Amino acid sequence: MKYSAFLPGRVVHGSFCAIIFLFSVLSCQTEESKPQKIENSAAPRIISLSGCLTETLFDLGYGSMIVGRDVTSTYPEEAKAIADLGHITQLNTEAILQLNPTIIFLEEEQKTQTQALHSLEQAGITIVAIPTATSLNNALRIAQKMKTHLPIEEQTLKNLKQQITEDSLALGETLNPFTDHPKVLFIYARGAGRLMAGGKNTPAAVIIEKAGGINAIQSFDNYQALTPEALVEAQPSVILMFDTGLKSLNGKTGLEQIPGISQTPAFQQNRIVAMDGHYLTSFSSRAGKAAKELATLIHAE
Amino acid sequence: MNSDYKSYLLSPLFLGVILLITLVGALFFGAYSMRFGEVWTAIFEASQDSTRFLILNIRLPRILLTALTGAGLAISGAAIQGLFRNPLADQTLIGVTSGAMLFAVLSIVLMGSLLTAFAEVFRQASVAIFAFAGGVATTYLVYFLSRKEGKTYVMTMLLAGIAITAFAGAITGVFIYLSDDQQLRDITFWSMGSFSGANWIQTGIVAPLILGGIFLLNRYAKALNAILLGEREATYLGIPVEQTKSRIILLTSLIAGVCIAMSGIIGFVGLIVPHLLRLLKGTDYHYLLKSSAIVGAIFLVLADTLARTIIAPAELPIGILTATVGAPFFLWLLIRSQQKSLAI
Repeated sequence: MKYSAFLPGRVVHGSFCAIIFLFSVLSCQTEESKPQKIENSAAPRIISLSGCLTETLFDLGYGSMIVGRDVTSTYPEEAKAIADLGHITQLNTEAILQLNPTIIFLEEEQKTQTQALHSLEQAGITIVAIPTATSLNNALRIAQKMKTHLPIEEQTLKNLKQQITEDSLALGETLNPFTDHPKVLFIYARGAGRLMAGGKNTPAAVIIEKAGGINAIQSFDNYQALTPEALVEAQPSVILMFDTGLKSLNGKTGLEQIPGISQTPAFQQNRIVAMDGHYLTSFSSRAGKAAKELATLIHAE
Repeated sequence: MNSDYKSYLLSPLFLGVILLITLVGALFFGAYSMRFGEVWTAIFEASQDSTRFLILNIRLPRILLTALTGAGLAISGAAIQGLFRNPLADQTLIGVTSGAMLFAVLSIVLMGSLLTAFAEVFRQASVAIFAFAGGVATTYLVYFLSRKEGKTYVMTMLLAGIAITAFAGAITGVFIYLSDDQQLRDITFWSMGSFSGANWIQTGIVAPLILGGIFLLNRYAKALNAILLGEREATYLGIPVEQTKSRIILLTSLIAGVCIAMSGIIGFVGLIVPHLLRLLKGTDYHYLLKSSAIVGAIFLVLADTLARTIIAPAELPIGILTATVGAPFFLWLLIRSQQKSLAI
């Protein structure tokens, strides 16, 4: 074994310099970007870790008080300007403290996904886990739960309730003339290699039923990989997809390439429906509108 | 550059000083911006404000956990390479990584349904507990498969490890297939490693295990040096080879298991850090085990400092960084080295 005599010293020296360089670069970055912290301010500083909760906060007029959001909070458009904290499993505790929040909202079922909550709670931040459901008045329930932690006015809640009721009534009116219940197959796509069929008890299945359709797959829960045989067996009269999903297949021409698709009544009659994923399945305050829009699309002749 | 200078720079004492500088240095950086003076007062003055909380309860335990994990992964990698006399060996080979992965995935996928009966504290820790148990149990399976008539056959163990890894990978695949979208994301992020949830409890659990493990592994340096010559030769030299083998396997599986349980899978450290030191200083396990632990700690603390700052307010999974920063550096070293081949 022969080792070079000049190499090690230089390497160690170099690494040492690299460490110092790294720290100096990082220090410049952190020193400059020091934001003003608001002390003793009455307005809450909110962090919302779910797209649906963020949307509800905007509905209630608290959008401007959100200082941080997770990666799924993309509606309304203003939400995208809020600091993005990434995915809930990868929360940066320090960055959250830097935002100086007073309250953090997340969905009940997200609680086990992150370990950062413990430290944040210790730092004196109120953490509120909100139960969510796939129902048209989900947003109202969320708002009521939020009201115990935020000074939301009774009138704001009433307005939200009224809006949700109106949307539900409008949905009922839309559904009234239809007598049929089309079989709708929901396909979750991320490129041609990753196609999943929506089974029972998925948010997609619930919204399909709200829109007067029948979920084409009744044999399994959750999502399973789509097979040509399952497609032919399901005989869907409508295929429902997220617009991003359809785009990932290069639209309808790409969809045709998938074995079994061209044998379905849905494809033969060109009944492919694409809608925004968050709008369709997050069960926010727009759920009634989404169901109504879906109802007109799946029943259209 | 003469060899005195070289051995001074690479001595465990000097590396230890660099580690200390790195640890203190890392304390000054994070997504939460503070001036140097603020960090200083936060540590040394007993005020009860938020910066003190942040430094002492968030940044410090995380840096220590990262350093311990780096040290644990690197030293167990070095010991395994020595035991197998194989430059490709690391924790993955004895099944601890794949076993931990399988059980972590199991825990993530079944968490919603089977574990609802348990307390929430347990549910949150279940991934770590499952991963640790899975890692250690799988290593033992590999170990027992390679034992015949009271002897452990290293070659059998190597192959059994590969087979068990493949098998565990397949079962993991089944659970990934069954997982929903949210679980799939949890799994993906877990397999890239992160220290984002570090706290004193985790650090407290890890510290005695890893420090004790490092101390005990160090005692097998002489035995590992002898095993380099071959197992029979080592026996002639008076080394209790069988005992050494089973102890080292036990220790490395415990160390690597607890590292993976706390932070997910962080590749590359266990494989590369020992090789780095071999390239620089040659194979002497008296030196290699200690120094691997120190350099592993330095490397991972630096990588984590980057992980928590470069894309703030979000955070990069550290497994991505260890490979993107470490691999080019190692390749550069490999090419610059005048050695014809890497010897164990």
